[in-house]
Amino acid sequence: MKKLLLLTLAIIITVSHNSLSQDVHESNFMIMRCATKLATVKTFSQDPGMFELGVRSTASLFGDAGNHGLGAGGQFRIRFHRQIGSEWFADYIVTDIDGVGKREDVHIGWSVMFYPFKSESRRFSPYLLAGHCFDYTKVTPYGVPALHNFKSERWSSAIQMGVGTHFNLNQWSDISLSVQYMTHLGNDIHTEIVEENGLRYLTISDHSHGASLEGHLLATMSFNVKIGRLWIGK
Amino acid sequence: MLVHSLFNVSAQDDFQLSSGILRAQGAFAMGRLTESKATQIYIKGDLSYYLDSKVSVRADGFYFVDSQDKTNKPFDFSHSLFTGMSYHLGDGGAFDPYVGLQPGINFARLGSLVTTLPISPNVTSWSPVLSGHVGFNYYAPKIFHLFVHMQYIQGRFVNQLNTQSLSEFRISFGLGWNIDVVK
Repeated sequence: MKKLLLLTLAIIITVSHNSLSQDVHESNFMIMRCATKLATVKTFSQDPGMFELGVRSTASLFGDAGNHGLGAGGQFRIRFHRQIGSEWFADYIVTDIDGVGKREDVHIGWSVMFYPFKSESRRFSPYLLAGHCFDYTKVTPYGVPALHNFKSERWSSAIQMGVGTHFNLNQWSDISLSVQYMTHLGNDIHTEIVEENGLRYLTISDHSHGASLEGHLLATMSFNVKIGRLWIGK
Repeated sequence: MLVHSLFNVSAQDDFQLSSGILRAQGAFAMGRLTESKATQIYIKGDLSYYLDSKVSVRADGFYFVDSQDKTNKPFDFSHSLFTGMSYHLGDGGAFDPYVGLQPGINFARLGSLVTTLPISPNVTSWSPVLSGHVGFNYYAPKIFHLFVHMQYIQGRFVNQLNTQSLSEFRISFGLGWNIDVVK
């Protein structure tokens, strides 16, 4: 996983100068098919007001328990300015805690994206992102009957920041890859694996009094389609 | 030869992939779980829309029918839904090879064979999954095409009774339908 992370970072850093020569043409397209008819030359829009829809897959890495989780979700984006955009997302992430417990995370939040390069004619469009989200976490140990199952859950708030890049497949779609660190600002659900008499089980302690800065690294891959412009402006 | 004779190859030179093509198909699919080595059978449907000749958005749904071997049945059922994209590698002609990625969600219930309980526990779980796919379509001049679709799924079923890998290789093939929705 560390190698994968390093590879991701290397790609994001190196691709910012990788461009394809494209004819630049301002097109004011709306729905996908209309766009096809109107825009006959290739440019990767950074138009303010652009609305995008997408699906995403998120890997949760190096969290509190050290286990890796996998999530699925969706997002939409609204571009405010040629170099500033926003991403509004929802993720459901499940983590297997060493075969003795299950952690579920739901993230609902938003990020502001800053594009340091004007990249209408580039296939890659790197960005920095920072934002906030609300999150729900539930930890459930295995091996005990459901009726007597002890579990811990909490709602909290979190902030996140990171880097990413779009890879523009054509004028209307992109694949995006981002890596961000998310820090939870609320209560911490601390888990520990205990081994007694050859049996392993999970203990949960809910630090409900006092804030913690528990966090995890999130790597997200998403696929997005430009739907149209919500407003026309410069 | 068989494909060419079935699809009247002389007319296929006219076919050109473009934006606005909507294609759909339904078929049986076979899956092989990589950890438990169980073979599973699904009814599958998918829908694609071409943004241009190179990129399409697509959604795939799999409805679990049964496991082939009743003595190796990790799940009572295991349905899944994927959405994502395909990138088309061809030149826009009748032969349309593609690769793609799709995040998805799986809804499953463990079979009794993988728990210590004598009967299947009525415990279901939603599990996020990620899949990659490769395949090709072979378009006839009008409204149908042959397809072969292979998909690898990565994920894990996790609940309070057990944990089970959802990693699986699936394959489906058959006849699909396509129309240009804006022509």
